[in-house]
Amino acid sequence: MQRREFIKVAAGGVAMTAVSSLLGGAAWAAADKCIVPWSSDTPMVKREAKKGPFKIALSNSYIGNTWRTEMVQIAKSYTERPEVKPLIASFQATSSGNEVSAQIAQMNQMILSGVDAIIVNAASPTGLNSVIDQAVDAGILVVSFDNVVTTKKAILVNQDQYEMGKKWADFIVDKTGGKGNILVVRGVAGTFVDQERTRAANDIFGKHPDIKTTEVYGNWDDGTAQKVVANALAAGTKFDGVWSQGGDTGVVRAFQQAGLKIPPIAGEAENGFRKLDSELKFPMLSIGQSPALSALSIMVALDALQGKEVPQAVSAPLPIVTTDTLKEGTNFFPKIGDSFFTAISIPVCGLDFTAEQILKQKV
Amino acid sequence: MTTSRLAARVGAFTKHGVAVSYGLLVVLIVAAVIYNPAFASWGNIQAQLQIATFIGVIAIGQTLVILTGQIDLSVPWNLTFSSILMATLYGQGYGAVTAVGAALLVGIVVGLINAVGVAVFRLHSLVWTLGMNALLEGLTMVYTNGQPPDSTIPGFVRFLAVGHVGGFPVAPIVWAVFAAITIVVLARSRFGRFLYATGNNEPALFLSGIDSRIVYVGAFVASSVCAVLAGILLTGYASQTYLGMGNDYLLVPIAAVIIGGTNIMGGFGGYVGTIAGTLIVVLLQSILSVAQIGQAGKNIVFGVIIIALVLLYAREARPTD
Repeated sequence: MQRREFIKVAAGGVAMTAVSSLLGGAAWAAADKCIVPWSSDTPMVKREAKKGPFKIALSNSYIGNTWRTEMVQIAKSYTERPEVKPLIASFQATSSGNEVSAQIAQMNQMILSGVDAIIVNAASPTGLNSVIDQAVDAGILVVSFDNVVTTKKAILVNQDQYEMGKKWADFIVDKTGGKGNILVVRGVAGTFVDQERTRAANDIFGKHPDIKTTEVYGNWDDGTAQKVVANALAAGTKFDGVWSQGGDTGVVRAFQQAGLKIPPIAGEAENGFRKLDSELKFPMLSIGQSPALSALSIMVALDALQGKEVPQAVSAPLPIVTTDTLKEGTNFFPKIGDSFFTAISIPVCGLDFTAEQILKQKV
Repeated sequence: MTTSRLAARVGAFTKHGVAVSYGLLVVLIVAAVIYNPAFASWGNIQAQLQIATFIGVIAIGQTLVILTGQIDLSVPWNLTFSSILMATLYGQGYGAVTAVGAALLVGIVVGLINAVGVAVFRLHSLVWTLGMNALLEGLTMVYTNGQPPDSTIPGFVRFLAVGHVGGFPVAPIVWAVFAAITIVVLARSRFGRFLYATGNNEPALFLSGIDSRIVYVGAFVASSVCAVLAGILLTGYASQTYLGMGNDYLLVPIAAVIIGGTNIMGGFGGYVGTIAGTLIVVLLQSILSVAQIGQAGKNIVFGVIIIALVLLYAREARPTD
């Protein structure tokens, strides 16, 4: 059952991104807007307007990494903003762990407590569909973000993973002149995000016959990425560029430790990666999955609850930083740990947060 | 069963498991060097030993615990929590000795609690240590509020993890020292014999007047301290601590122990085999990765090797009486 459903999800996702890459130009032309439909055929959703303030609940699955904790902290910080606070009767965030059954139980509690909207980062793309159906039947708005669900009854908010992988690959092609050995550091095997990002990389690198890629799996984890990259370097290949979708601090450290010059690296948005780049000035492109997707999801939910028309699937902008646009205290933070995710703001949506605002929130 | 017969059988089996695992290791090395001569380069050997150290140190503790017929599933967050504690205390201006001492103290306490569950409450470690792992994850979240501190790492921790002495990396030397101690303790000490006896036949050990609770305390505290040591080395290697840094270190060291010929039910095996098991695991990862075998292929190869060896060892270990 799981496999069939997984294939369905994957196929759906592929179709979705295929459409969005065809229409990519149009979507990007509208990038100065905050709430952008995923593609031209994304249906719009309009609910009967309700009067606030609203009871909002955040149902999270796994909490054991910095991205997730920041995501929860940003959501809390957002609901305390002066312009948002009057709309919020209550906000509660709970994490169930990666057990689908535990998250279902958690969402059932939320339904019973009569919330107006549930924001969900799902433990499974399909496992929560039935409880989401129940919630929607009970008149509750469900917004799914980051690890999104497949049911069309939920509003989806996410960044386009294919587009992210493509931008990284374009950068590496540009910096290497379309030739040489490229190290591809993948994420967690078998996940949708890893497949989408890597598919984009292969599509771009495949157009350049003089590019030879070597793949390793870093599991989006600094320690693991450092080990596998050290390993690849020790095997004797000289790499002209690195396309890495996570664990990038470890990637840079592996090059440092091997005593090698650091090649152009396109990667995620970890604080350590950007700190190292601000010192070492290697050519860098850093694009992150933003933990502020939680705040954007709440924003979309509040719009929808008040009767505004919103897309059923929202494509969130990609926060892009290069070596030249690094700015201390804004998009990297020397005094904070390496594993901090720096993409904490989505400026086009007015979602600007400081590290202090976020970190003072209890997880 | 007399002690000498027991020892003889343990010896015979250990030799067999050790022979198989070292044979496999040699085959792997030869295959790797033929496939890519750079494998034999000093740089690559250093890199492999460096990576093997983390797994090897944790596998010391797992070997001891598995010999008693138990397992320690609290390694990942024990490693993470103690490392973050060390880095935080050091960052707050406590000395390196205090910081590392506090981490080791956490290891001892966690080991003691693990042992109490198994030895006093007679619960299986599978459940008890898994609970401990969850508890430590929660503690880590409360302690850090989700954000581990900035990466200020004591200099000597960096030295232990990535330093060199006379052109030789320090981390594998650290591992070699602990490995030698472990091998001697297992082969020569009363504690070592009691470990095997506990895994083989705990009631018999009890009837011969030995308190097996002490044996469990020794095994679990050793395992927990090994996890902390590996965490400290890993912190030096990565120059940072982060949530989930221990996630990779639950099953791989256990696989190393099993591949090295130690019986998962306890009573047979030893650390000499685990060393081979550790190197096999690390080399195999490396070879498959350099040969561009995808993650699925890697998992299949690992699965096949573990299943094949467990079957082989199980046949050999089947009691004849």
